[in-house]
Amino acid sequence: MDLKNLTIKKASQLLRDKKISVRELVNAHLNLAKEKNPELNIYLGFYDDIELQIDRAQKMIDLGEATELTGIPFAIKDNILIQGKIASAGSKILENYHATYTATAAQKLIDQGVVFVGRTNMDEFAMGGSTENSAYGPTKNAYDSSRVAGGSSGGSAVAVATDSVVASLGSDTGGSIRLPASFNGLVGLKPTYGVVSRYGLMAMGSSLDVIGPFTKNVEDAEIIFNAIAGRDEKDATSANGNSAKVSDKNPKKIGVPMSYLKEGLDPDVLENFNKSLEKFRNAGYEIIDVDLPNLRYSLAVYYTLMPAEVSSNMARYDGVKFGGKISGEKLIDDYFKTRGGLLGKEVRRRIILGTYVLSAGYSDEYYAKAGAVREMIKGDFIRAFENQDSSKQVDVIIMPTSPTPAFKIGEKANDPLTMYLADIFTVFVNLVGVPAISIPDGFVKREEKDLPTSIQIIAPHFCENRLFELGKKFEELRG
Amino acid sequence: MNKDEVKKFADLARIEISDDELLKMSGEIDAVLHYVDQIKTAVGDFKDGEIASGKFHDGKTDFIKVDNFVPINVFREGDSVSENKLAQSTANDRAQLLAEAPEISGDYVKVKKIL
Repeated sequence: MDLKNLTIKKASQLLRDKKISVRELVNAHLNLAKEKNPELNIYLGFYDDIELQIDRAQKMIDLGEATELTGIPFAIKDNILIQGKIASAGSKILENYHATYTATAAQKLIDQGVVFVGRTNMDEFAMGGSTENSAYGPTKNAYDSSRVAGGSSGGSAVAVATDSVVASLGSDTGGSIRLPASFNGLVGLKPTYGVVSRYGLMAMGSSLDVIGPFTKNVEDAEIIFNAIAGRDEKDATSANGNSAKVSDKNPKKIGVPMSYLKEGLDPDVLENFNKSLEKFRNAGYEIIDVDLPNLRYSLAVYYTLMPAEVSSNMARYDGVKFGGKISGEKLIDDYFKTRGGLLGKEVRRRIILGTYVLSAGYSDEYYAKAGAVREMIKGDFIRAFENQDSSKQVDVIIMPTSPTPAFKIGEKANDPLTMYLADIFTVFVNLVGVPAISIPDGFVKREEKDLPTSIQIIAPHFCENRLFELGKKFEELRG
Repeated sequence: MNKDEVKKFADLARIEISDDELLKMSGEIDAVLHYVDQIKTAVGDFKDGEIASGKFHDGKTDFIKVDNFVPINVFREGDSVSENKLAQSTANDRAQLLAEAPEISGDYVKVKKIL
């Protein structure tokens, strides 16, 4: 079985034509997963009910009730809940925590008969850009094991990149799907905020978090998106139906914020990006330089608002209600010891930073102003997508996903600010809430190894169809 | 942020932290705050429920209403049918929820005496 080129579409056809069984499909992947896992540290655990899931999926196929997702081997990020299974979020504090309910996005896939083989490694509570912040050690890059997988959904990316599953779920708060997708040569989709339910996704930055897929091509990402999207009454921020303000037309005009690409971008990454632009241009697309003047504030805004939300969301880990506990003399000591001892360094750093920006005397200077600048960044995007002057109006915006290819493990581990700068092309998408997709656009050579790079396509709110349309076109142009 | 301030905010966040780490974290948080400080000059100060942005690309000063970005709570419809449905799905999980608590006593989550 050629696992490398096996997409959801192809695997599903083989299953329905009875050329292979679900068991054969899953076991071929699972064997590879168990072979690669010791070296790359992709999975934190394999599930013990895989056989049951296989039987259930096969039955759906045999009864003619299968969808394109039935029987497809999936991996899931360790911060998305499936009832009864451990979900540790890459943290010591939830090492033995069994989920008490199932995330809506996971349930929708289970209903279609996917086979979840295991839970994947991640930066602790999704806080990080390299998966080095996992309490269980870093996940290694699929193209060079001395390099990071990207993060925070590093395990979910490498799971697909090593063909140990056909697709996986991750979560994206500031780039946590798109960055590891880019570092591992995959398609990664960050849907519009509120379109995929957050119910059952462990909260990090609640105004930013969204669940999305890792796949081998755009078509597969579209299949999974259609399966997991939709209104959910269990998520109070779930979007109401189709709220698109602009028509979901076929994109023709591509905006590029040229001035934002001048600094901090690796020359080889820029070269690949320029080649991609040329392909679009040759195919008849109009490339327009867009002015997004407030983008330069996006990292500063993100690293104010996100820690603030983190500090609130992490208050639940107190050693009382669920998760691990370190006992002290009095109740107050239980809190201090549990949170000091079982939460990792980056998590503690962000909680303390967030507590600071929300504290009396500082919240007007930091939190409130960051909220205002977030509105200015949103304004930049609205002006680009809805400009009355048609020479300035664009249908999508594209830029590289990451300023560099995957960096070395340990290279940025002791300098949080440098690590944060890897998110320079991804965080504003979460601040604005628009959808974006990362698609491989080539390779750069580093120490004799080919490392993948990507373009990122960004569309207006609720216009995922533009991403799929243009993304598939780009795959054709790229060859 | 100096060492004492880090200690103060760590205390507010109920996080035990060693002296060594305090020192290290103070440098790291300082670097982040220094970077983040640019937002202070990106907009003006709050006045009468508005904030002057002054940095829009056309050079015009714009005013953003505070209501536009002050986070508001989102409430669910208070309709009894959906509430019951939600309540029911969690009531069944009572035993499961208790099983996840670090310490229990009977049907209660156990904590140390505070009085």
